[in-house]
Amino acid sequence: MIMKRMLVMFLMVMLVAGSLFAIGCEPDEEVVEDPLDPVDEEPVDEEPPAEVDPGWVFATDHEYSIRDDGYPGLQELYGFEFADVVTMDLGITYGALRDGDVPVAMGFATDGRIAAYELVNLVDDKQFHPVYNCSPVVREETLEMYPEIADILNPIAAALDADTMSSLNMQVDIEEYLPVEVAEEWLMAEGFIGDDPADMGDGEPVVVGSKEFTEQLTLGQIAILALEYNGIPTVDETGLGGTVVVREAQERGDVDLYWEYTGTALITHLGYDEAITDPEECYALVAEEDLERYGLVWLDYTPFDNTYTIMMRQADADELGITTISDLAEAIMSGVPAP
Amino acid sequence: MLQNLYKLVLVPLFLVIVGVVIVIYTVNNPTDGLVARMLTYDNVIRALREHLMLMLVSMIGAITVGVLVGIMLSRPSLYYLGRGVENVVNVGQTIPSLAILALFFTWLGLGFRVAVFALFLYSILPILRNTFAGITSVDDSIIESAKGMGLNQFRILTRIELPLAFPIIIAGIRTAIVINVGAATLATFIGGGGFGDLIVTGLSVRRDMVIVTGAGLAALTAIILDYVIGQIEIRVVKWT
Repeated sequence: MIMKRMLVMFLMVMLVAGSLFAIGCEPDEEVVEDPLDPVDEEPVDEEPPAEVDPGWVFATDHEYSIRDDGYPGLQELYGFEFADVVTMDLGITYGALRDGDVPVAMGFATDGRIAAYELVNLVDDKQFHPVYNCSPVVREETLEMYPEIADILNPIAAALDADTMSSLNMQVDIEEYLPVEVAEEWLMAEGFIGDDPADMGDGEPVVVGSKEFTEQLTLGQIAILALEYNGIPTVDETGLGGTVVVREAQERGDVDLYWEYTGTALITHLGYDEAITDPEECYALVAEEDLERYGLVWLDYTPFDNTYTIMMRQADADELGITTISDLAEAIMSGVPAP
Repeated sequence: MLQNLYKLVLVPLFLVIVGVVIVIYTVNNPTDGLVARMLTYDNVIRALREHLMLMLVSMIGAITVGVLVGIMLSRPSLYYLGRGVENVVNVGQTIPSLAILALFFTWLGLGFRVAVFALFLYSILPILRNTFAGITSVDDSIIESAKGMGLNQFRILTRIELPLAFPIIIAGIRTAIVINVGAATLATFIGGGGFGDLIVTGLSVRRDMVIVTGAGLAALTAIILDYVIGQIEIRVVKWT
């Protein structure tokens, strides 16, 4: 009996040792260090920088916390570090900042809550954040079936500048209109749709998807209304669970069209790990690769650039005299207490 | 003795080693720069620490409160209350864990403490229910004979009711632990940290390795804790 147990134990140990060996985890040798004999440890810092106040906590969503074009890169370029980083769901960073849970948070530049909550976008004075212009992305087969989609959506994309998009977002987030109402009103006002819709064709409907946040919901409704007005039947699948869900649905062919941001496609979908800050260059690369690899066509992109932004409360920013990210970096690193 | 040692210590130890191997493997073989940045020993250990803290604090609180309240409600004088509370608890259990976290977020704000509090309340439910059900299911004739032998209320509780209800109470605790490990991965949405950080971050940048590491470690944690509690149960039952 005991022999049998010993045998099993032995086998387990062998299994573990074997897997450790197979993994080959030995190349990183930095761990071997005798605590009693501190080997030629060079004096690291001439003088330690001023202590960072522990109140400097940064609220961010998960994606920004890890992307090269997110917090890690920001930290490196501006040469600072928050005392702590809290990751949370995308939508609640604005509220967390407003309610005083954190002094600094990340958000999206075109979000309507920035103005409504009396927050301020810090100027990205070293132009770190890459571009996130938005394009309708259509499956190649869908576009073959309805080539007019491009003619319908291209002028609409061209009309969506930063102010327009912010105001549309604000109408949904703050004034509490439905995305579909906001979309319809704007399309009417701009003359993209009117009182004279074309007859609905009886072809295969176009499945329009979107991610789950306000801007995406509104853009999705804009696409649906515009297509339907021009006689293209659609299916509303807006509000899917996030970038990856929508994108995978589109790769599988379950979603035919949704609005995607150039920077997101570059990093997340095409697997680049360096961002591009020129809108045209980023768009060209993404459009070409996506068509080649996944058969997805990028229509024209919007002038608005929904890039990441670093926000503070307006009152705190005024009090500390912070207007740019460089100011913020200097304040943090020189030991200014957090508001 | 060796057999005891083998079951109580070696199996969990083996599972822990599996976890360590997963971590060593993924940290040393990242598929790209993003994965390398997310899967550092620091990050994994921080996630583990936060996850265990979330679980342990909420579970210890939940076990204490759940068992005590369950015992109180099963007393004959409070029995009429017990049925009502049981119904409320059953309804409470049907609320999704994400919704519980979201509710407490809107009420109390964000962060670790709020997540612990939400998990604590959520974990009380199965423990309370099973404690109450376990004690009230003890056959009346046994209690009667205990009374006949001159045991007082307290003795009946400690000598008769609790030992007989013990397996059911432990089953409730095990259910709570498994629910708790799963729900704790959602704490990340309100800034509570834990393995959810790894899972959701991996999901948001579409790096499977990060997702699998986070999910695998969370699952291992659940398996280990459940196993240990199960072993303790067997031992205690043998002793009593």
